[in-house]
Amino acid sequence: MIAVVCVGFVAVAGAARLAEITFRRALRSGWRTAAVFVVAAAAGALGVVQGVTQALSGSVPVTDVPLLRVGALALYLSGWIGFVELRSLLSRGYSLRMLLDLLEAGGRLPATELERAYGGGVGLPGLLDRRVTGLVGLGLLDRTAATVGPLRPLGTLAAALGATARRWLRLDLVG
Amino acid sequence: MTWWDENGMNAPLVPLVALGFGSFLLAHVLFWRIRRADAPRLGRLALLAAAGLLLLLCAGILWLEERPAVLFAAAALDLLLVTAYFFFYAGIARSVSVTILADLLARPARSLPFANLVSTYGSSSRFHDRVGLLQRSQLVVMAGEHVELTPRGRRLALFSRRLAAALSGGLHG
Repeated sequence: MIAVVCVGFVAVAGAARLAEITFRRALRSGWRTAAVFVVAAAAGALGVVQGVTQALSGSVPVTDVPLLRVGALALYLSGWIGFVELRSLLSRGYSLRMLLDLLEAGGRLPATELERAYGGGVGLPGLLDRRVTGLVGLGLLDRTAATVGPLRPLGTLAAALGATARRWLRLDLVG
Repeated sequence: MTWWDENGMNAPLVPLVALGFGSFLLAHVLFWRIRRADAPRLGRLALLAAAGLLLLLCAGILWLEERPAVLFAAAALDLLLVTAYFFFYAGIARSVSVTILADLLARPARSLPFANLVSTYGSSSRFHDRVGLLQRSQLVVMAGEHVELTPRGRRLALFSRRLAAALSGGLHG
């Protein structure tokens, strides 16, 4: 059953990534790529749920089959969340990028130079610019050429949630 | 009989999942508040999540004597909630974007010049704290003023570069 879920997930993730590469080259509109993802994810979910149900339905009473479907769907969604997090880490990971900068510099750099050369030479200004651009894209804040902000309502909510959680969990050493 | 009952969903799924995930969250908050640390402690968080799942399964098997399909569904739902929480926690613990949002929230106009943002972040210890975390994870070592990759750090950098190229188009940071 776990193998079915894993195979289903990997297959859909691979297909979605391939579709993204293909469509990004050919299309301009972001909603088409999103639609591809949604269709691929939905197809994967149906496949996994059906596969698990068929594999295990002989071992449980017929009235328990919906529970198998619920469990299979939950596992599939867990896999997707994990994939999204992994992809985000591999695309924007701060620490991983520092390791890569060191690797590309032969494995050793002065600490001040590592900061200056972060992200292949963009440095901390480039890091912050990318993050701010991402936040603007998510609709969390506005931006002009020289100013960051103000926060939009959703950004205010996200900021309050983040700040409160950090305070509650006593997370002082953060990103 | 309702649709819920006819389809075997009259099992105590919600109480079981609430027990597993709730106990994990409670233990997590208590532990983090009692013992502050400079590291994200993801390993410890995973152990607490596993303990919550174990509690869920024990309750289902020993106390409620529930059938396997119920335990499977409850455990899978608990795993879904835990995975979603790890996604949230990673942002809270390490996200530069959350730091930017929190900084803006603290400003009267909820905005500031980009140059000030760069200056504030650059003059803080955040970058060097991140190097410290890499050092504690034995991915780099400090040799005087230099930061050096360890063999473990080199392997992780190489692996990440290849995986990033395959999954996300590159590791831009």
